[in-house]
Formats: sequence, structure tokens, C-alpha cells
Amino acid sequence: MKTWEYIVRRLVLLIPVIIGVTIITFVVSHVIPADPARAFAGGPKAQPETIARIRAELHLDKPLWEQYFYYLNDLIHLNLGKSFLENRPVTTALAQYFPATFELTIFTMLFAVPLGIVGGIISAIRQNKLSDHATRIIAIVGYSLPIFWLALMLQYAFAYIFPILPLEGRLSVGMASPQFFTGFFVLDSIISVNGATLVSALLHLVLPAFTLGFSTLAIILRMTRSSMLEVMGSDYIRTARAKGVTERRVIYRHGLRNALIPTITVTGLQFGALLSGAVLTETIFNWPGMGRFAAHAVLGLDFNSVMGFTLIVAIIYVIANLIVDLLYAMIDPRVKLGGG
Amino acid sequence: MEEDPLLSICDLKTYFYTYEGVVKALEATSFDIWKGETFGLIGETGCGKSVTALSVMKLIPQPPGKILSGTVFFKGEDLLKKSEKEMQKIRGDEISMIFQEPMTALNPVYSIGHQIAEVILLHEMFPEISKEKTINPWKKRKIKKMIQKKAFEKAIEALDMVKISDPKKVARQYPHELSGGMRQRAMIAMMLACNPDLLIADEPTTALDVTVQAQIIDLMKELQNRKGTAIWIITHNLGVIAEMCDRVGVMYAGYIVEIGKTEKIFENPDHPYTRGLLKSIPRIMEEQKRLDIIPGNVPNLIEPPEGCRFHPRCRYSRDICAKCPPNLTVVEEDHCVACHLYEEVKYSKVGSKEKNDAGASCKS
Amino acid sequence: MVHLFRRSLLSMIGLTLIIILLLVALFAPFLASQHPSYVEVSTEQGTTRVEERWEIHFDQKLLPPSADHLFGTDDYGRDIFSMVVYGSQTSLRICLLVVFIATIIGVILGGLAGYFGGALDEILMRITDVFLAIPYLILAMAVAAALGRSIDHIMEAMIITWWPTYARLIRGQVLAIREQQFVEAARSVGASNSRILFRHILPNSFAPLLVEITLDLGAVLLVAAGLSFIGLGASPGTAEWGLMISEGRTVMFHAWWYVTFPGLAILLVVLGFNLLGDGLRDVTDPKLRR
Repeated sequence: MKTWEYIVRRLVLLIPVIIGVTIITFVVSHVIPADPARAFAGGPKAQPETIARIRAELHLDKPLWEQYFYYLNDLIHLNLGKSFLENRPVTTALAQYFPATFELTIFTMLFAVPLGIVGGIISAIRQNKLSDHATRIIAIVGYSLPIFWLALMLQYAFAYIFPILPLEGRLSVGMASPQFFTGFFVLDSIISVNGATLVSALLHLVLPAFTLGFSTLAIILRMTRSSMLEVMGSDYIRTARAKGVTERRVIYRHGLRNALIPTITVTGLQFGALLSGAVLTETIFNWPGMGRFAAHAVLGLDFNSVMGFTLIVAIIYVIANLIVDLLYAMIDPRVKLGGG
Repeated sequence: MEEDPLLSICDLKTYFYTYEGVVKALEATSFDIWKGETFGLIGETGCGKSVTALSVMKLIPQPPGKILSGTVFFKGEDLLKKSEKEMQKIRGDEISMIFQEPMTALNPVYSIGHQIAEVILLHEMFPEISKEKTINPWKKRKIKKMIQKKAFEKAIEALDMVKISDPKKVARQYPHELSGGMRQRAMIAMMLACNPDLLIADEPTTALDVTVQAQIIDLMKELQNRKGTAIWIITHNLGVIAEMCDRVGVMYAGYIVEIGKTEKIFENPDHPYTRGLLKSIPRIMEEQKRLDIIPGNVPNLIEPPEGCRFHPRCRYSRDICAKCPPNLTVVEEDHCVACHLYEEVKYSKVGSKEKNDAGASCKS
Repeated sequence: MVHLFRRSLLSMIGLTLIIILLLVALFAPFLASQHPSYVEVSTEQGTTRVEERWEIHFDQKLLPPSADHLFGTDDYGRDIFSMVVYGSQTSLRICLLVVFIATIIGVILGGLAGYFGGALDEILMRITDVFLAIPYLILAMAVAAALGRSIDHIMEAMIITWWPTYARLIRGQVLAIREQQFVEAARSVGASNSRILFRHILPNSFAPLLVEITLDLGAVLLVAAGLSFIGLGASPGTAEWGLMISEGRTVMFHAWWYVTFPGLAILLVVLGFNLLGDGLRDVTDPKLRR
């Protein structure tokens, strides 16, 4: 099956899943005891007429299944409703917050992926020696940590012990964002040749990226390690040695090339998960991304935002899965697209 | 007139240090292989045949395994004293090894041609191309590309040599796209590409269909005739031995118990174990009420029996068998047995090839 | 097999940590110096629910760790060590209930789908696809937000989030085992479907399920703590580890102990479950033998 056919087929199969997600978000948003019309009208002090008017607008007086179709219709027109906390369409808010989360995700991966893979290789090659045990312990602590706690501990450490890194936000207080090209502050600073914002943006990325990266690193390290161990025990490694291949080449050309295949899968899924917005980390570091947006929305009972966010996250996740499958097919010659 | 053997293993001792205990895989294994001959090593699973081959190639995983003592003389030099780097030059080039499961023995992410070309690139020098010395990086790249192309062409030739049809196409394919028989041929092509002096074949046909087995055996015989490679074949299949081997060694629990010319061993098996093996083959022409078996089980190599390791299962065992492991004794020309029953019977035929195997030499 | 497990130091550490957790939860009243009282409170819907109340000692607020107060006190003067100790009960309750119920739902649905196949299987696969398309925290967050702030609600939310994982796991196992020869053998001597399912297939699926359960106990705790931290779970005043961290955040810079110790507790418990789960996996997965 050719690549394009496969992609189209997968995208088509995506639709039932997305519809399923919309059903979930719809059902969840109608379980709430609070009355969204009242919330939109301004809370307990709202006038009854205003509430009634908003109810009609939001079709809340119609039967449930009819409301669902209005909802679907809105979605097709890319209308996720209005966030009453921010007083603007949900889509606008998400569009503004997405680049911040994306930038954080990229830097997190830049930190976690190389270290994770290298750590996994070292751990596998020196199995059961000190370096193996040390890296394994670091890894296992890494994904046993509550991320929000790590974030707080880091903030504390860098406030009192080494007061050299900023603790919140994307830029220093009062600094204007660089001229908008991509929404990524680092990139935009480079393009507009703005040294001050570049440095500030980079410094502000350090702690959040490290916090998120630590657990991502742990996951990737574990995956690489177990994958390498399995691969290095296989017959074709023995064959390679029997051919007279040097040990270094055996490890990298023969071993790693095979071991990376499942690691790529895990990395791709992590990327998807991170893109969904690290809710807790962004909240603590006051990072203006989708995760913080979601946290505020959830607490403020801003349901349009919560539902819109959930939907977008599901879509991102599913697309990440698709990309991972494609990558897998590209690097593993045994896999034929479409399950051949 | 005697020449020196190509490979001479003497008192090889390999142990494995595992959680459950020390596995004494090889205690004092000794035998020789001559140039151009086909030598068979036969025995049950777990008797140490593969361990011997891996020890010779020095491919034993170092934890938990360890080659403790002995000598392995190849073309006059002791392989056990060589460094890893020196061994890497020898592997694939002078001694090659093919394994049992061709599917898992080939790297799934590289094409067949690539994998064969790899061994060629490692050991061949391509003097015509690389004699151009230059510092220019672009030229260097071009030379490298030319060498790689040449190696790939040679790989295709190797595939042709093992009678794979359409070798150009197969060279670009991946292992999972080939059948079992073709994969094994590709393995043979890969390991013979650099014309080694000795090819070790560890159960090469066990994982294949019977008809394919016959083809592979014929192929190996033909290649041997053409190139003069010595073949050391490891198997538990007596039929393969009968078809292919000039000489055969019978291995039990880490020791060689009988060794000699194939016909002699098949006609006059002397060691009780060999006798048991040969008797347990069902015969078409005879009527048999029950199949003959060797009673008992293969010993646990962590606590092997004292003395002769076969004595608990042997109906002829005597006191001395439990105390002292027997040495190889010559019983006739080209035929030695390691059994106390035969120690009184000694032939001292000068010029017998087995004189080197028997008796005193291996005490050094 | 047990001896392999015992030989792994990390697994034994994990087991020890979990045993400590169980002991602390069990003997909380003896270990803590302060104790909560439980009060019935009526909710907006007209039902009652039980709330935890702690005594307030304003004169002892924000004391650093000392012999009297091992972990210090919070801004209401409550002993943090006692709160952490009683919090272990809450955490244990949440983890066990969520995983237990999610497993039961998942095993039943997944087992039936895997065994009978066909339309039932297809429908289940689509449903689990949908649930698994949303990351754990997000889904639990959305559901919990809708239901309202309480521990019971986050447990319900997490059960809804987690059951598809088990359904998928069991379904996969059942599919693999269903085709094996010993099942055919059982069928050929006339065993009924339910007998095959319960006597043959499920016992063989046990090992990976156990590993998953152990690892999930830790994961559930992390999500539950995260939800409480945001403000979705425990009501203010309850001794729940995640909530304590969130309350400690406001005074973190001059009272580091309020944030540190509950977080350490979470870390150690999750670490214990992870080490234990890893050890179980090493022991039961034949591919990972040395």
C-alpha cells in the first residue's frame, strides 16, 4: 500500500475516534450541575431575561441529542465556543497559547531525547556495573517523581541556593516579546536579532524544560536500555562479531539501529503527550501555554475551554500516533504499511 | 608423511559462571582438523559442541563464560593468546562460522547485499582503488564510494556462487523477504566471501526442511571442492555426518569420547555412548519391537559425574570409571576412543593420523 | 522464580517501601501525634458526605521540623507529620479502589471481547480507542471538573480513565492464548466457554496483569495528587498529599517543609510501586532473563 493511500486511510479512520471524543466531551459538559447560561450571564447576579436569552442562544432549551448536532455543527465550522473567563473565542485563546507550549515541548525533547538515548546505551552496555545501576536509579526516580513537586523544589533551590535562573514566565518581567514571526520566542529573537529577549527566553526555558524533561528522559532511557539489551542478545549480533566487525560498530551499526525502533515510538508518543500541554508544570512556572489555560479553565468552570482543550489534545495525540506509525514503517523494513 | 593440522585444539577448558553454579562445559577437549577436510562434531544438545566452536572463535560472552586453559593452534599460532583486535581480523577472513537459525542470524534492517559487502569491506583491501593516496576529502569520499560499489558487486558474485537465482535482486532484498533455505545460502555466501581456511557450521541444516537440507549439504560439498576450505560441521544428525564428513568426533558432556574416520566409527563404534547412538537409529530393513535407547539423562554440567562423565549410564562401568576420566586411546588406524575398556588395547601404528590425538601429548 | 526476585536489590527495596506504606496506613493512629475528626456535612445536592477536620493551633503555626513536630507545622499549626501519616490512608484508599474497580471492569469487558470476537470486539476496540486518545490527566481532569470537587469524584473520574487500559491488556492476552493448542484441547474434550475462559485463559493472563496493576497503583497516585494539587480533589483541610503541596506552595519560601515532606512521601510510595512492578516484570517476562 502506498504511503499516501495509507495516510488517507488512517485519517479517515481518525474520524470515528474524534467523533467518539466529541461525544465524551459533550456528555461530560452536560453532566455538570452548574448552569452554563447563568455563568455566561455573569453569575448569581444575572438577570433572568439575560439568562433566558443566553439559554436560547446556546440551544440549552432543546433536547440533548439536538444539542449534540448543534455542537458538531459548530465544530465543523471550527467554532469551539466562547471562553467566558477570557472573554474571547476558545480557538483564539488556544491559538495564542499553543506556540508557547510547542516551544517548551521542543526544548524539553532537545534535552531529554539525546540524554535518554545515550544513558540507555551506556546502561545496556555496562549492564550491572556501577554506571548501569546509577543511571537506572536516576531513571526510575525520574518517573516516580510527582512533576509538580519537582518543579516546586527546583523553584526553591533556584530562589535560595543558586539565585541565577528565573522562576516564572517566558520573559523577564516588563520585557516586551520579540517581534512576531513564529510565536517561538527563541526563533523570533534570532530572526529579529534581539539579543536581550533571546537570552531571557532561553533562561526562562531552562527550569520548565528540565522539569518536564526529567521524566521524559527517564522514560526514554528505560526504553532504550531494555531495547538495547534485547537486541544485543540476538543472533545477528553474534553473526556480526563472527564476521570480524569491531565492537563499536557492532553496538552502533548493528545494535542501536535495531534498538532505536521501539525507542522512536515512545519518543513520538511522548512528544504528543507534551504537546498536549503539561498542565501542572505550566501552572507552577506560570508558563502561558495550553496547559495553564486548561488548569485555569477547569478551576473556573469554563467548560467551553475545557471541552475545546480536551478535543484539541485528543486530535494532537491521534496525529502523533499516526506520525509515529509512519516513522516506524520508514525505518523498519519488515513493516509494510497497511499491515502487510 | 605428516603435515601439521590446520586447527589443533588441546585441553580446552571453558566454564560458565552462573547464578545457579559453575557450568563446566568443556574440561579437556582436544582434537585436530586438517586442511581441506570435513570434520564432524556430533553429540546431544548441551554436550558442548557449540561451546567448543565459540571458544575457538573467542566469541564466548565473557561474563558469564571464561576460557580457562588450553591451547588452540591455528596455522601455527595460539588463538587464545591473541588480542580481540587480532581476532577480529581473523574472523570472517580466515575462520568463518555459520549458525543454526538463518532468520535470526541476519540483521533485519540491512539488505542481504549490504551485509555480505560488510564482511568484504572489512577484510579485503582493494589495492587498485585505494592505492591512490590523497588528502582531498571529496576524492576520499569518491574512493570510498567506489570501494563500496566494488564490494557490493563482489557480494552479488558471492550470492551467485551459492546458486541463488537472480542474485542482483536478492542482494537488494531484506532477510525477511527470503525463504529459510535462501537465507542459509546467503549466510554461507557471506561467510565464504573472503575465502576462509576453515568454515565452522553450527547445525546449519537443523532449522530447514529435509529437502532443503539436502541442497545445502550438496552446496557445501561443492564449495569445499572448489575452494579447498576445511569444514567443521556441528550437528546431532548422524545422516549429515554420514553424507559429508571425512572424520568425526563424538562429544559427550564436554569431552571427546570417540574420534576417527567416519566409516570406521560407523562400522565399529567402540565407545558405549557411540554404540548407543548408532543403535538407536530405527532401521527400515529390520524388524524392531522396541527402539533402543540409552538409559538415563544427560548430566548436569554444574555437578558432573566424577571420572568418566558417561559412567552413570554405562552398562560396562567399573570402579576406575568413577574415579578417573579416560584418555583417548588408539584402537585402530584413524580411530581413537576415550574409555577405560580399551586402555589395555593399544595399537602403535606409526604414521596413523590419530597418533597425535591419542596418549601423552596433551599433558603440556 | 521467587529467588530471582529476592536477588534483585531494587525489587526488595520496592517491596520494603510498600510494606512500610501499608504499616503506616494501618497504624496511623499510633504514629501520629494529632488526629483528625470526621464530620458529616450536607452537600448542595442534599446528600451528606464525610469531611475530615483537623484541630487548629494558631500559636504553633509554621514551625520548622523539630523533635515535637518531625515534619514541622503548617500555617494553621497542624502537625505535618501526622497529616502525612493519615494521608497515607487516603492515598492507599484511592489507589486500591481505583485500580481494583478499573481492573474488574476492564477484565470483564476485555475478556469477553477477546474471547468472543466479532462485533463485540470491534465495538470495544472503538470505545477504548476513544478513551485512550486522551492523555490520562486531561481526561480525569475534564471528568472531575464536571462532577465537582471531591475525592470520590476524582476516583470516579480515574476509574473511567483507566479501565480501557486493562480491557486492552486482557483482550490482547486472551487473543494470544485463545489460539494456543491447550485451549483447543480443552474445547475438544467438551469444556464450556465459561470454563475455558475462567479456568484456562484468565489464569495465564495473570502475570502481565499483575505487573500492570502494580505500576498503575503508582501512576494513579501521581494523577490523584496532581488533581488535588490543581484543586479538583480533596476539599481544603483534608490531609491529602497533593493538596498539602498546593497549600504549602503559598508559604514555600519561608516554610519549605510544608511542600517537601508530602512530596517526598508521594515519591517514595510511587518509587516503591515502580520498583516492585519492575521486579515482577523481570521475573515473569521470559524475554528479559539474562
